Amino acid sequence: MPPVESSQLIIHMSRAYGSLNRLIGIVRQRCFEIESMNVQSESADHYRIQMVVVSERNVVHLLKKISQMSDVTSVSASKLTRVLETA
Amino acid sequence: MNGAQLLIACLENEGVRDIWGYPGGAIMPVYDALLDSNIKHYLTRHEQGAGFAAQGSARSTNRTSVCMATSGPGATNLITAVGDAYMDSIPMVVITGQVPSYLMGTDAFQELDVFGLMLPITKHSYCVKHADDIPRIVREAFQLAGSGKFGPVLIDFPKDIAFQKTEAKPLPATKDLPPISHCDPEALRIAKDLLAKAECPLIYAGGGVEKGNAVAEFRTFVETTGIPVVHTLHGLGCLPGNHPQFLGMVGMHGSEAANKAVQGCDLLLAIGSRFDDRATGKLTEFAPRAKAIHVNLDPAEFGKLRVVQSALGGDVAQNLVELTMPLSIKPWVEQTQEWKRTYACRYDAPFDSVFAPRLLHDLSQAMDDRETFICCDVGQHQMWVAQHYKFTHPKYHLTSGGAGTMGFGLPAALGVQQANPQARTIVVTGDGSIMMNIQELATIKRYNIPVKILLFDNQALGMVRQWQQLFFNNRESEIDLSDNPDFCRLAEAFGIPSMRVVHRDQEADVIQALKNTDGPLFIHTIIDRAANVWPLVPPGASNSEMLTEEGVSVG
Repeated sequence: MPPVESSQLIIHMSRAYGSLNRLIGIVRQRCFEIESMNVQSESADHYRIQMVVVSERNVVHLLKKISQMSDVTSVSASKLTRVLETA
Repeated sequence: MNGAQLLIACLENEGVRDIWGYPGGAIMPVYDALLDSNIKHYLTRHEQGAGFAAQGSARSTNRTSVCMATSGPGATNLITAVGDAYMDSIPMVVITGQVPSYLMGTDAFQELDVFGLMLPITKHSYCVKHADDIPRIVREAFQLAGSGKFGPVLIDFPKDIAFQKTEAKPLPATKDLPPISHCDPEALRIAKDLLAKAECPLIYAGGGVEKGNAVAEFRTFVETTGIPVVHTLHGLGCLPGNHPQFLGMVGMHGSEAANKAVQGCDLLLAIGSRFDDRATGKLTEFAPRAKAIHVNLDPAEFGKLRVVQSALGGDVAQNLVELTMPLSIKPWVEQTQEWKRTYACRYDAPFDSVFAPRLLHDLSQAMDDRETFICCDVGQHQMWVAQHYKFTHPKYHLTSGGAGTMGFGLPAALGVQQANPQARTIVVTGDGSIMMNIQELATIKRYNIPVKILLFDNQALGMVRQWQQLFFNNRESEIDLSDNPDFCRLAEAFGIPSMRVVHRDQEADVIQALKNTDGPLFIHTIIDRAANVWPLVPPGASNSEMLTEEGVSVG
């Protein structure tokens, strides 16, 4: 099995109705677990979201899907330490 | 003006001419507003039928279509069609009524969280909170559905918002769609270098060619380079089925020539395709010695399943123009042609009953210049169509590829025929699939839609029976349909003329009837219960492990 890795995402996105649900839905559908999530309202219209996700999948693919959401203004990711490695 | 009237005005403003739907409590204000509109509404007999009919319209025109239903069960009955549209990237705006916003969250009558239910199967979902938002939401919904990678968009519309007074107006001119990104020069340079060095290149093309409006550029690219071509299910017709460079469909029910070429190529050009598991078989053994170039509008497809040497995002047509150049690959082309001759389909079945592959092959050969759309259901007949009908353009082949939804064919054909009134529309279906949306025969009758239905009846769920035979020790479980209704009498009960076909001598009559009948027609064709679809790659196996009718691997 490929190693499980965790990544931190920084997402700036609209506070439109359902935007957080849509974001979580995409993360879940792509087989990523949300380890932590910090939502800040940085303006009346926008959230800044700090999210740590864990998966065996490549985070680049998730990043591309999130960047395609019409709610999202920007998204970036950085790899955190490897939390688990299986033989 | 109230919210419902504004919604209809905004739909008119987006160029909507038809809506497929079914009324009910929460959506009643919108249906009331429709009475004063030029938009034509088609009443189906089930909301799923409305969803698939809208899909048929969108698939055959590449224009965003609209379907509509009420809250609760009306909306959930749409879900299968919406999920199907999501899987196959079909542009569709889905409007659902909702209980008044002050009752949302109270378990009100016919209240379900449709917004939540639809979230994972739509590109975007809206719940209208104020009537003033309607022009923006409708504009955005159409832009999202019909741009980039197409898909369905939901507008959930609470009843009190439909009655809310507003001064808002439809937005004036249509804003331009977001521009498609340009070709990446470095990726193009690498791709050209790979092409120039390849000795055994192969094109593996999918539905993204047609959705990217790139069929003409694709054909020029193919003929200039001389590269052999295999298609996915949705790619069929990008290169005409009788084109010499076309080797057949790839994958689970692909042709032997196509699958051998994939296994033998040293450069794979994936164009508008996405390495779907039905096409690749065991992914690690798909084109095992090939480098790969991936041309796709959607950058999220790059690296999802296969690491490629060159990923060309953005406009498919423009990328193909940039890549077009003559190549010297004669020995490889001759090898693929030899495979094509060796493994050509045979149509000389000895038995007296109708042989579906031969009938479908002969039907496509007999077609004239009139546009002919084939709407498939899901099962063995779907694969026989893909294998044996020679499509001249991908838009003429409508099939539920990603979701594989039984019951798709008949209602989809309604939308196709209404959007293309001069064309001929034929549903190819099975006795399992037709019963999933048989009620839409009433819609055919109501609007006198001249759809032809070719039903292959083997009195079983044939594809499931075939898998049980091959992979479950021939233990047949719940596939028997020997108690089917009398389909001809059923069609007649809906007021649709029918004919029954039992012998191979009648195959020519079937073709003439499909070609020359003006109105709707239901053809009930009895086929051999034991007929299977060959070749077959067992699930999870490599495409080199094809089973043929003789039960041998051709790898």
